[in-house]
Amino acid sequence: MNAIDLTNIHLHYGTGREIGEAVLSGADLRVADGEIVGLLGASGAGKSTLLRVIAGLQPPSSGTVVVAGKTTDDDGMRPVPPHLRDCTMVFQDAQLFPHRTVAANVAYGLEAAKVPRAQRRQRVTEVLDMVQISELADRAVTALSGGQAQRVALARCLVLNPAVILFDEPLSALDRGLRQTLAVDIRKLLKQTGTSAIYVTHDPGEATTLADRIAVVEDGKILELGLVGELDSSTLTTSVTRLLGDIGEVSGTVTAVAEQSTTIALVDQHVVLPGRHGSIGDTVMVQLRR
Amino acid sequence: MVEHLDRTLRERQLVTLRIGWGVALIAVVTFLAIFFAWPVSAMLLRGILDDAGALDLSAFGEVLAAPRTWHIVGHTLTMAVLGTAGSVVFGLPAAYILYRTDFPGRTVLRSITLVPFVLPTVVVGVAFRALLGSNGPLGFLGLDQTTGAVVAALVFFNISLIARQVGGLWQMLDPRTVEAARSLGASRARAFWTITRPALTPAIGASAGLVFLYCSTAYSLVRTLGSPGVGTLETEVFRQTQTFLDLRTAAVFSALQVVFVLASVWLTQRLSHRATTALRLQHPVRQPLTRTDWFPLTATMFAVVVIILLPMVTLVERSLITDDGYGLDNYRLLVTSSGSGFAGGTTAAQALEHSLKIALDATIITLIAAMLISLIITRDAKHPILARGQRFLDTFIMLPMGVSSVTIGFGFLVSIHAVNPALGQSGVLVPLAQAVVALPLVVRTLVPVLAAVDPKQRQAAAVLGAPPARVLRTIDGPYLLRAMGLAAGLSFSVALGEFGATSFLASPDYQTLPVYIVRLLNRPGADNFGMALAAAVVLGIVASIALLLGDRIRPRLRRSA
Repeated sequence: MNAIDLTNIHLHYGTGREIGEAVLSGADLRVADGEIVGLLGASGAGKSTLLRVIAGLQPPSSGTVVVAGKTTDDDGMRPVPPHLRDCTMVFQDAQLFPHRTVAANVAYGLEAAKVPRAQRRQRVTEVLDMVQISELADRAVTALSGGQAQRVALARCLVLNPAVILFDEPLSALDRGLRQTLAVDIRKLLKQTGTSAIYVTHDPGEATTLADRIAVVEDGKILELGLVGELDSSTLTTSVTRLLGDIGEVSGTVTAVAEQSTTIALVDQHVVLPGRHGSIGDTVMVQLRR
Repeated sequence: MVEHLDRTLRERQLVTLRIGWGVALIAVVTFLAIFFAWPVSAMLLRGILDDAGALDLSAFGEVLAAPRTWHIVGHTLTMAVLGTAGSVVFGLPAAYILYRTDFPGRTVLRSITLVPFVLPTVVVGVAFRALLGSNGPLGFLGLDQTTGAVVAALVFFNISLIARQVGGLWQMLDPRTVEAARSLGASRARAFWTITRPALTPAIGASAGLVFLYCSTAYSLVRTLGSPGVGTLETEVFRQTQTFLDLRTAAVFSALQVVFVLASVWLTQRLSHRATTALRLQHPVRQPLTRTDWFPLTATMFAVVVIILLPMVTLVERSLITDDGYGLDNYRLLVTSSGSGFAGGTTAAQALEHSLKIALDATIITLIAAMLISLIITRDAKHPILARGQRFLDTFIMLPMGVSSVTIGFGFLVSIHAVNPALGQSGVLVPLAQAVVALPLVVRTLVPVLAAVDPKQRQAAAVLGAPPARVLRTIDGPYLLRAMGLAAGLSFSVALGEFGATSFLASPDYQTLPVYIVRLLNRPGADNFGMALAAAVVLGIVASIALLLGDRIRPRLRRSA
């Protein structure tokens, strides 16, 4: 079973006779169970819109959306509302609830699902620990840094064990170093929990660090570029190549350091660099040039 | 993740939600129809229909043919224009000094300018009587119970409004634009006239229009200050109703009043929409006072000290004067029936008690209606018809603010009261009318709070599994609750000081304090005047406390897991 199945999604603004500009025109996308798809595209290409369609925040003009085996749109019935879909979303600006503490933000979805209090507390503690912010549990969310806020936003989703998490450029407001660390951490957490994800970003480095597979939104359609490990830049069109500008950049974790070499784990790959670089567990960025 | 609900349950949830909104909408529309639309249209119909219900414009013809009518229109217009002009003349320097410069004492001056926002108009009217009366500190000006006194009181009320609205913009203007003009050879005055003034014009126009609206509907102030001259359109409505019992003529004057108000609203909109030039705005800038600021500083000091502070101080001081020096005699008279002002079997203390009870009822009605209305207005309506309905409600709810409270009081009299006199005598109409008067203000404090909730917050809640009802409770609820204290304080203080509608509806044996105060002022005798002063001080204090308490009460809302 696929986590996400999008077939022939069309979306244009305007209603009735005045059909406005098309944002999506026949987008197809499949995300396998446990897979992370990185979605790239120029700004305004409709990446975020696609996520909103999947989440049920915006109905498509036509097309079929299947989330975790459940058809949510275009089955002749009313679309399934967002709160009943087995997917959650991490927003660009986190959208934490300012009147709730960190822990209460994470507990929000569990309260809505009517999980008993004791169980709720336990789950929240577990997940906060998992995303390494257990010491912030009772903090006001207004006092968090950008990176911390996104960790809370991720925890708020993970705690529900959703089939899919949709990421809408969650790290774009953070500085570069933090972005690399968090990207590596997010991948680790998603793989650890077996959660599928669509990760929208405009940073190719972030996409190749995080995702198993890359796709590009162009002209309202989705162009599959295949597995990160099998990317072949010689087959790409000019516009996609421009979009992927610095795709040779990728962040990974140092797994072994020897006198002569340093081994770095990237997405399903290892790279061995000459010389000593950092120590085990460090997040580093590697750049490849042709 | 949570087991998905089956389709039927989902449909049922959706239906329940729709029914909920439907009921809320019907409740709100019914309330506004009965307590606003009906009274106002009944009033208008009263003017154009004869007793048999046929169209008869003779009443209009008679009224419009009378020279007295045009004297009244002219007098109303003169007062409003002078009040507006005075407010702008003193408001602009105050905007500069209080918002653009920095000097020790600025915050104190600024807090004094907040006083007019807090005090009921009747209190201010009494204060100006104390100030300008023959024994008052400015009695030598001979302004007591003249149009001049009304204009001064209007300026008192509206300086702060101009200063706040214009100053709020002024402090954000980028000083470098003026610096650029200066470096290009413009003098200080020229730079002001060519750079700063055009930037401020829309704000000045908009706030002056608003002030004009207030000045042309200042019924309670005019009544308190003795309805000088031929009076205004509003006092004429009252006179025709109460003295001559001529409801048709009153209705014609009330209709003229509505036309007057609509014209000024239209003018305001025109002024504020015109020429909103692109401004370079930035964080508030304050510059230290310089020697060249002496003129605006003097004007501001005059406005704050003479126009705002002096009447307040005089009111308190005069209320403490007794036959032999200072004492609490006037205040003691408030709780007894021994003064010659003892009227209608009610003491001032009892009137205060009535006022508090009525204001409490009015506050409850206002809060419920305002909460429903602001929730309805701020929903993200998907259907275009619903969205249009929302915009209509948003505009419609502002109408009671423009339609003067006199129109509302008189309208109640010729609609609900006329159909069911028993209901009128039972006294339930007074809090309802006060609620209609307070409603636009309260809705205007709640809507921005709810509108400030990022729609993405609701979306975030929804994707985390919260159904619409829970989103409403957990996301909008806390914001609404936070603003509730201020809304309650505001509606309580408005209801407490409300005079226009109440003067038409309160029965003689169940008077409110503002009505009682105006009655005292119209009776001869030094003890009556003294009691009016003391009662005004009490009313002012109670109303301010209500407003300040409301502002302070912010329920602690931090939720932990």
